[in-house]
Amino acid sequence: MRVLIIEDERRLSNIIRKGFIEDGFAVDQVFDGEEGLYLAENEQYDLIVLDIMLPKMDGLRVCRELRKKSIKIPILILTAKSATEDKVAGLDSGADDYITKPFSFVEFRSRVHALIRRSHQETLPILMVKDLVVDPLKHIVKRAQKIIDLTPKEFAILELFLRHKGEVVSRTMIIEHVWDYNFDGMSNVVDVFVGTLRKKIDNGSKIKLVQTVHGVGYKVGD
Amino acid sequence: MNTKSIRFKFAVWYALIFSAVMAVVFLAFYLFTQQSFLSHTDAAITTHTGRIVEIISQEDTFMNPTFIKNSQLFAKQFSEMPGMLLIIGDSLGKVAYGSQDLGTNEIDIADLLEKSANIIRPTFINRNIGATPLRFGVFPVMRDGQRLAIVLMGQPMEVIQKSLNELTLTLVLVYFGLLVFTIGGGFLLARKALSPITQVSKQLKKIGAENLQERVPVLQTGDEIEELSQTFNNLLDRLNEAFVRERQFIGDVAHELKTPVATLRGEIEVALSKQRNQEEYKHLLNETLVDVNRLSTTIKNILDLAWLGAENANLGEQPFNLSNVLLELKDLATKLAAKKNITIRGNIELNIWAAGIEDKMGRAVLNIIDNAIKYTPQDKMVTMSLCKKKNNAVIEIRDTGVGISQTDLSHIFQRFYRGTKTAKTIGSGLGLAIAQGIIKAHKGEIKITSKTSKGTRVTIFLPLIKSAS
Repeated sequence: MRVLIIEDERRLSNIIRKGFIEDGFAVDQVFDGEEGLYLAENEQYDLIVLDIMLPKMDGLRVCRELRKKSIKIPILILTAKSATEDKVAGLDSGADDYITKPFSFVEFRSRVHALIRRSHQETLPILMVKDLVVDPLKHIVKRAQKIIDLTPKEFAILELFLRHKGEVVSRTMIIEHVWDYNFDGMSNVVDVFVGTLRKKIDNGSKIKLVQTVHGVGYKVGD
Repeated sequence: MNTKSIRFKFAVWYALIFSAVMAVVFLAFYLFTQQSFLSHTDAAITTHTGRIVEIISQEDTFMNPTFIKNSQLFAKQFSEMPGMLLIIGDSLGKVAYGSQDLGTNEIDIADLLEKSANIIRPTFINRNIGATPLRFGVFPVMRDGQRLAIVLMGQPMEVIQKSLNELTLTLVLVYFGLLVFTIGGGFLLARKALSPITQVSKQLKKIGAENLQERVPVLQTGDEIEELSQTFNNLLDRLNEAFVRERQFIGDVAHELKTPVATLRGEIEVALSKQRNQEEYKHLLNETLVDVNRLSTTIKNILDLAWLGAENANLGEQPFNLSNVLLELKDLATKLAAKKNITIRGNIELNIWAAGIEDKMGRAVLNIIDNAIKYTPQDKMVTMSLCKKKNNAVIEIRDTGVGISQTDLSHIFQRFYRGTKTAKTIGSGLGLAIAQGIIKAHKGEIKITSKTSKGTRVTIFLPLIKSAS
């Protein structure tokens, strides 16, 4: 999953980023509203964490602009403003959730995962295909009841596959959702990661879950 | 009814004054009417009597046959005039002649004559003869200082008396009628005059901290009430402003504290989320320390601002050596600037004294120096100077830094204001607000001039005192 953090408080932004990266997320950070709006419009994110009081353009406006352009990325507002009117203004501007500082990071993570789940119209917090079970919140992958160890990137790719169960996932999509803005690797890096992922989950099973769709990408399905 | 209310007092005073004036007017009217009636009666009596007195005084001898003959003529004349009574008394005060048979009323007449014994000028007396009220003219007839006779002419007063009684009754009735109207009118008038005040007070009762933006209705009457409502509204304006400012400040304070707390909490929670090695823990603890330090700085700043708000008056007039303060600050600045290799130049005149609190003043100047160093690029210079100018000690801090834009310059002393170009990591936005507060509390002045990318000059003027004596 790839997340954009628009927060001018650098230290707070850094700690959120650290938490996300440990969860296997790809994270982009910007420190003002204008740049945030630009990135949100031009990159593929699964979630935006947005502060309200930002230099250049405030968070509510960023939110409204994005919704006006039919960008449906889930937006979580993260702010020190805790009055009811502020929350109402935040949600009414098109945000999906609102959390006030100081917040519990554990709660924050749960809300982030809930938002991502909802945006993919999923009902359960865990992702499943055949005998493969992925729990994004606890960061656990099991195949036939056996725990499989994955690196954060492998985990992120698997999560992406499962979020798009039965659909073809292109290499570009993987790059856009798993790596951050600073990634300028070749798309064959994706193939390397998918290769190791495939080895870890399909080894020892008759049914191969990760299928290659030639010239396009990959597919995980029933 | 509240007898202490202005409305009640107003109505009572109004009624009292009005009724007193009315009473005086009515009484005067009555007396004037009475006087007018009597003077007409008196004039008639005098006319009637004139001839008689003349005849009597011409007689050589009182009571001679001519006189008696004349008297009979009078009698005839007066008996034709109903109610009129003519009595002529002799020099001894005995009845010499009466135009009517006096009968039982003789005693009354005798008494009247006796009382008139000493009268030497024409006089008028009211007197009842029997049950009939009469007005008597008493005319002594004198010759050579001797009283020859006395002429009493009585005219009936019944009609006049009746008219006067009716007049009295009418006046009393009218008076009380008017009195009722006056009291009622007084209350109505008082209520009408005071109703805007009642309205204002009703509205004011409704206004509390949560609806300070409401106002008292102002009627465009041009009177004192309009002025009063206007005054109240101005007061409410000022209160509201202060309230909004304080609320804004509290919001800013909350924001200022919430963000580092959020960071701190996030750092700790992330640190605890999984097993880490010692190096990582150490690094994370160091990070949390940074936030704790930031929090304590913010709290100290907020306390400083609270002190400025609360104790401006208690500054005291303790003299202190401003030159020494600046010299110490210069040492401190040199240390602060060493990291960025910024040169600190000082031109500090010695033995300059100011009055107030040394620590606070040091804090104010340090905030400015700190800013100067923050916004000055590596290897450049910051200049500090202190000198006397007229009655002021003048401190000047000049940097060769990035400068401040015109927009920022106008907001620079606002609490929690950070420059539009400033990265948020620098400062809490309270430094200059505190500096200005402290300097103002010391009856001083602070001025900032700046040119973008050239540098900034901060000048502080403080009232000079001679020295610590």
